Amino acid sequence: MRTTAAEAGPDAGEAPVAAPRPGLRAHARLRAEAAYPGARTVLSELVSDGPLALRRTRHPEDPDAAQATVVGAMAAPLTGDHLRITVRVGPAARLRVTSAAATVSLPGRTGPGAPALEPARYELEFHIADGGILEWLPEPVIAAAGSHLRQHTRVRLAPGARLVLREEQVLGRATDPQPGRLASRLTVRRTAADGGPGRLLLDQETDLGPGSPAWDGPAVLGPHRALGQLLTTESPGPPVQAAGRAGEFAAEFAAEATASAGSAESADLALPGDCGLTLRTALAANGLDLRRALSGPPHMVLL
Amino acid sequence: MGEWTEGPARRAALLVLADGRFPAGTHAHSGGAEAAVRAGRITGVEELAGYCRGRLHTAGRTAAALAAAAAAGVDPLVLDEAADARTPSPAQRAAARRLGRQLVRAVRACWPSAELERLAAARPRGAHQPVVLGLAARTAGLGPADAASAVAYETVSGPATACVRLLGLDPFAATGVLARLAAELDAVADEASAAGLRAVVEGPDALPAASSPLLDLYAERHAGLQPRLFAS
Repeated sequence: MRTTAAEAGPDAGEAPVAAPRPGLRAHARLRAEAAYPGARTVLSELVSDGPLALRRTRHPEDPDAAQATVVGAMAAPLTGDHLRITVRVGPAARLRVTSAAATVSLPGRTGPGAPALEPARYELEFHIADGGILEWLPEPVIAAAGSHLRQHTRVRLAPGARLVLREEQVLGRATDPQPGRLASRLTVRRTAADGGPGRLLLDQETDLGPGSPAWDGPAVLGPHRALGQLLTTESPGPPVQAAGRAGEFAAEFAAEATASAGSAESADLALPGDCGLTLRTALAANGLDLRRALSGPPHMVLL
Repeated sequence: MGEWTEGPARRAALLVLADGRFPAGTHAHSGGAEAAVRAGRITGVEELAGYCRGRLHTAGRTAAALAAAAAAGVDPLVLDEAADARTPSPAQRAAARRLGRQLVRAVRACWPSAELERLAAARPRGAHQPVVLGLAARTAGLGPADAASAVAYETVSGPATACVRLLGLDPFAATGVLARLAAELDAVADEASAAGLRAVVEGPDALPAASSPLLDLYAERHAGLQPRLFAS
């Protein structure tokens, strides 16, 4: 008997006793719309899928804005998984997205007999229309020992769109002997008024953790294990203007390089072409210090 | 967008272009090493090796691919915009453009071309240096792999030379760091060259965007540093 692959289906002919979970595919979708500027924002689409459960929650500051929370419905991503979230914010709509907990990237089943799996993929796509605002404020992604995750966040901003996007990556849980591998790319485009591809504003890729060359060396992470970014069309807050001489500066950073606590360092980077976007990049020993560096004023010492 | 075809071997042209004494202004830049030394993160040869390796696989990989794409005939203005998007630090953008402008002056004396003059006219304050270097390589009859090699080597030779001056490192030991990176330099250049050729067909999104958070922070910090030995 002959069957084609399409007739047989993906599971045909497979009946092992303890089949390892193959990589799962999940695509959650979210759409926020407002009828007119100043109108209440409604979530016209809220589609959960697999481990990505979306819940309507209350925006703490703006009763007319919409808020959704990503709730992890099962352990994911595991190596081999492919997760995706698409968010569309319509003209004049206001949406905040949070998450209920940190996302822990975990190894897939390993050991004898386990299938060779591709790294897990986590893809985020944000489309924001003119006058719309997206605040993407999830908890960190934590790369557990043995895990391998590739994230790609793609943002498309229409002219007049607003954005507050926070990304936090923590390499290893506190008890992990070594971190997992975490690669991340952030691509931001300003679309043309006619909806064309427009201009690329930011394309930035990091690849951290065991297996990536010199990731913990003095040119990449140094002693830090947490990396974060706050990308925003808004003002990220005034930097602290600290007085000091070059000698004190050197001593201060030399001490910081060897001490682990409170060692966050950050800078606010104005993206090219007078596009109005600022990228705050921060590094810290741990997730707590990192959050402080992303929320508060930058720790960069200006001389 | 043009196409690159294999030309006659021009090894000597590559030596001229990649020579540390080529008057392109690179000797005035440390590639972030001065800020790393001031922060206490490079104190000896071992950290220098880690620094060079990290820079090669992040900023170096991206710059080498941009140069390869320019050498392969991708529109330099498109690549200049791609370089901007891959350089979020304003201090690094400024340094790359300053070096690009200086390189135009040196290349004009060696391999004058209408393509180079068009780029210089469109970017009077300087185009990103790897883009200019790729265009120069193309004019000199070199290929994408040559351009990528020259740029990859420069991303590590700059910090190594700077650390000899900043820390009084043994110059033999510093050169040893570069020699031990040779195989990785070739691998990065080969990969960058392949990406550059892909960009001819697929556009600049085919180019890597590898970056390093500490290099961005060093660049911003260095811009506010006085006194300093190097411009970046």
